[in-house]
Amino acid sequence: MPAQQIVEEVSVQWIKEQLDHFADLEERMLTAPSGKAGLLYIKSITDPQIINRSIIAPFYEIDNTQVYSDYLSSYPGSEEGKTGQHALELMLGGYACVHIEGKLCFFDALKAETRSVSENMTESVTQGPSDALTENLAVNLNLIRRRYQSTELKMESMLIGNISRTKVAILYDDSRVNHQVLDELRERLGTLRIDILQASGELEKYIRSDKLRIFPKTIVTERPDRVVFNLAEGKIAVMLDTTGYAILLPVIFNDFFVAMDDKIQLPFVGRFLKLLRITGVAMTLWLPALYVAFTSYNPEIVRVQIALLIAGSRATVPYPSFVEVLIMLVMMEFLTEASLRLPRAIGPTATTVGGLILGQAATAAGLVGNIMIILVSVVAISNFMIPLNMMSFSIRVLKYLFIIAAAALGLVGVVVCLVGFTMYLCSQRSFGQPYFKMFFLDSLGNSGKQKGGGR
Amino acid sequence: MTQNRYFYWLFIMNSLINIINFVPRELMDTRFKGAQTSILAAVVLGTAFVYLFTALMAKFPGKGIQEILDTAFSRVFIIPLMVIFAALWCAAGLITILSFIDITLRFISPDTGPYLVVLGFLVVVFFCARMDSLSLLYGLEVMLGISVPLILYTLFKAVTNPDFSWDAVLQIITYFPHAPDVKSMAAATFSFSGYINMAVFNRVLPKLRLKHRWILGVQGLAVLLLTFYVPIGYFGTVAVERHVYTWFSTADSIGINTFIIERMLFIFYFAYLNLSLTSVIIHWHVGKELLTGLFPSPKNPKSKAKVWRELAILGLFSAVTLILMRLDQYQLNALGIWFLLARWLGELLLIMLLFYCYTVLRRRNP
Amino acid sequence: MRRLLLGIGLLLLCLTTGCEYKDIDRRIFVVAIGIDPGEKAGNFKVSLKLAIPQGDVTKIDEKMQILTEESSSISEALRRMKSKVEKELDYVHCKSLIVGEKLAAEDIRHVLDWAVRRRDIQLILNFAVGRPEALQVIEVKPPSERIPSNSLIMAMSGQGTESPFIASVYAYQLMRDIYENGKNPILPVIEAQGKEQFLINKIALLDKQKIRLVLSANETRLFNLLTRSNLRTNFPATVDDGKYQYYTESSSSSYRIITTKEGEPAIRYKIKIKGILEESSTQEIVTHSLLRQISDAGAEALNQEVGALLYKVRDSGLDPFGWGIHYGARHWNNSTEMRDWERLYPRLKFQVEADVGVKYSGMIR
Repeated sequence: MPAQQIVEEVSVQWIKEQLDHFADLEERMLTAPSGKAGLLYIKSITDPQIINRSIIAPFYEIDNTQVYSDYLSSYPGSEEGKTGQHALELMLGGYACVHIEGKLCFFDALKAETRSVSENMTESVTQGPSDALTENLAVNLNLIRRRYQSTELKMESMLIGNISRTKVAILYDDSRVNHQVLDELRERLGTLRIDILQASGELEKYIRSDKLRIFPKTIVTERPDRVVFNLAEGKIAVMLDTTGYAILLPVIFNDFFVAMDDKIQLPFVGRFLKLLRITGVAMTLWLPALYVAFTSYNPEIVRVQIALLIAGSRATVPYPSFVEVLIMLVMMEFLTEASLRLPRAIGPTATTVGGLILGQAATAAGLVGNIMIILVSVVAISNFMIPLNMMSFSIRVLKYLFIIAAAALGLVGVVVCLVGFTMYLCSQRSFGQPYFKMFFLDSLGNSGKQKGGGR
Repeated sequence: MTQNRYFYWLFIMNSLINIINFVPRELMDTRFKGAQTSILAAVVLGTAFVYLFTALMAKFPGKGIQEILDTAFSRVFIIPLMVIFAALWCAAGLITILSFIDITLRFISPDTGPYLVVLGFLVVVFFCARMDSLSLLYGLEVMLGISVPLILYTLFKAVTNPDFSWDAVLQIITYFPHAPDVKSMAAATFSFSGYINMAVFNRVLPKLRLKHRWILGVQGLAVLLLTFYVPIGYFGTVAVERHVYTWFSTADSIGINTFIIERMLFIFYFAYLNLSLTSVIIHWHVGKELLTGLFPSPKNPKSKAKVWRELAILGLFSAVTLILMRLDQYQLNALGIWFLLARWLGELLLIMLLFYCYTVLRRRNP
Repeated sequence: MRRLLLGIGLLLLCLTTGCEYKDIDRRIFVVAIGIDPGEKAGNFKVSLKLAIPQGDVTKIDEKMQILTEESSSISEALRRMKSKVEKELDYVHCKSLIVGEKLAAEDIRHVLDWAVRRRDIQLILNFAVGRPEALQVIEVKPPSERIPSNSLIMAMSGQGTESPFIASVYAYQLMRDIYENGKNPILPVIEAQGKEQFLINKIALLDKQKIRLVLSANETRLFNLLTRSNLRTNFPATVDDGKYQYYTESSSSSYRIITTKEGEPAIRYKIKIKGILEESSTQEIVTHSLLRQISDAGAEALNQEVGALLYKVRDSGLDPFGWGIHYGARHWNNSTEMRDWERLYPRLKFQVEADVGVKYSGMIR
């Protein structure tokens, strides 16, 4: 027991001085015929039940203070404060300090106020598990370990944040993970110097490499099954205590279009759903831009019947098509944004009012063409087909880029923008790994190799 | 295996892009005087070039042309060579972008100002050509994934059209027995010159082991024959020479009945705009790499000098484009034909240089 | 710095919009062009049919406008017409070009050259001859039409009606046939019948520049039978007193240029038709042998009619079927083959072998 040697440095008195003006600091003296013991803890983050059952009750049951001291130090979760700093950290981390005969022993009595495992909110699926990660790291680990019963699932943990001291856990499957990525992640986390870390998204922001970027390079998810699925694919999960989300990395562009149902559905249906999502993204990106291009620059592209229909629906609209598109799209953004923030009870009101006004009145007043309304609804709906929010937001912003290009150059602008966009995607790297390319061709080659593996 | 495919993509890109770079023009001009034998000769020659070049490059894994030449020649000799090659690559992109601007102005947006279109093209090329080589290969693959199905669809529609005049095609085939024409042949080898981009991309594809290179010959032959015969089926043996952009006029002659777009032209244009922008990006990237290789690499990897050099080189390329925008249709055509010949000679020179380097290497480490 | 550049770039992009920015509602689409000879010799009278889009789609009320202008050149006439409308004339959706019969009797090459040379006029533009004048044809407005000129487009492109009397000719085909050695162009003839109806059932045969012969409706159908596969039509057959009509479910034709035993050049046409009995003038029950008889009688009738058409075409000296290029495509003596052909052509004999198989008697026997 090295505790005795540092009593001179770390005394109860010293700790009490450091924790001056802590109104919730409790100090108790336990007196029994066999001896005396002091107990010091911060009431607000310790669990009184643990204190009662595991510290106070045994003291009176065990007659011998020596035995009691051994009992405490061998209890799982108890530590001895080696230095003053460490002792303080332990105290703030919800440990109770017990001093018996000049020895200090820190006993884990953290009371973590968490909600129980609840249903996930942001990524709902039709079938499959609906439990979500919680704010408690231990519970999260439980959720994941239970699903991933392999000795290869390694976990490293570290503390980040000078003040918040947030526990960060890095999970990976040792046999599948790319160690280059792991080293890069460790290095980036190791060199991180911040005070407060509260959310996964925040951490994601700190560990990214490039400043200016449009696309998310990591998945932030609250689904334990997605975490497990990605771990099995050789990805790394970073989890934080106090947030209900995990960060997965490195990711590729296609990962954002995988919903967890795809695995559950029949293979054909799953493929179809994925195709549907990709079509949705294409629609939401290009439809408004193509509308501008077709109405203002290249009406020759669509067939004459459609051109006349568009021209007819726009007959009363007093401004150019890209203004029309921008107005309607911005209105739609207002609507989505508002219904997101509204309390659930009045949420439907916004949709009704918005739908009514935007849909009916604007066309009736001749401010917007009929076809425009259809288009905006398609854009709005297809945008939300992307299973992961981060990507859906990126796409939402990006479509304006295409509209501007279309307004400047028509169809040529849209295509030029598409080329630039694809090239930009291809030039992106997520933790050194390619972000976007024809991944399925890689696997095609590999499977061919496996078949002809004899060579 | 997985890396090898990028080589094939580079090849396919060039062979598809030939219809923009005046190859059909040159072939059509000699359609009664040996264009078909020229195509055959070009296929043989082109495939031989591919075999030679890839075999030689395989002796220098992971090295660009610069590093290879460094092993055998002095710097004084390399600098003019590199400038010449860079100029050729710049010209390759230049011809593509210039004729594509011409096509755009003719077929898509006659109303838009030409300089606006150029600017749009140049901006995207400018930014993309600066990306690293591997990203460009990924991008090329995606672009081919978008364009090739559309081009195949166009071809399918073109050939299955009941108004396609097979008699005209057969009539041209009866003009087969003529001696090949050197200019047509040089032009037709353009379809095969995609391999030459490996001069720089070899750096990022070190483990290249090519199998089935004969496929390239077959593919090149198929592309050239289609390039040659399909417009004849549409415009007859005589009138075909009257169309300036033979292939785009061909696409304009195909209608689609069951789609919101009823003219094939736009689908074809979309596919080729993608493809030609990608090709310009790749060609200029190679040109840029060749030129930046001439400067000593800066000690500080983050130094601004490298960025400014790249910008200056690409700016130079763009400036040339803007200046050459003044060319009229016939001058542009002449420039294109001149380039096709010069490029062929350049390829020959490059292969000979490589061969010399290889012998030097052999002598050094027998 | 980067952000500033980006901002400036975006601003510039926004500024550039509006340069040549012309919304669809500021354009007026020309859907058909009619070109007639002008009153002064050498002049063109150009008429345009403009489609005016409707604000309310639910109302079936087509609006169109016809502009006419005469000038010494087509372009000049079009430029002048620009000042007759408030919107920009847009030719990209022009689908039909009608050449007046009088003009077509002189020279159509000028019009074709103009249509193919102009960049905003598509190559899949339907060419036709208008009778009596192109203007009358484009003025026709069938009551069933909702989008201006749609009926003309539908009829000509074969997307709507599949009439066996219509042969559609696109600009690229016309150009190909005009320049090709060994083939002569054709053009469909559209007749205006009043203000609400048109009739397309004739084909005009042209030499390299003007109309030389107009085929009758029946000949046009036979012409289409020989040039198209799966022509949907009906043909007559007479067995004893009974008059029958059979519908062609599928048809195909092919020909070979051969030399007969006498050393004379001949073209052997083979026509294969599968049909259904559609109409019978007798009350007899159709038996298997009667079906055979009908088939044979139909084939015989077809042989004679097609033969007559072919001789008529040969005697006119024209080659709308492209026999010449067909001959050239199968001979390797390129320098002399066309001269050979010209020598052979007037002596051509025709052998028509129609193979009609009426397979079904329809819904009743």
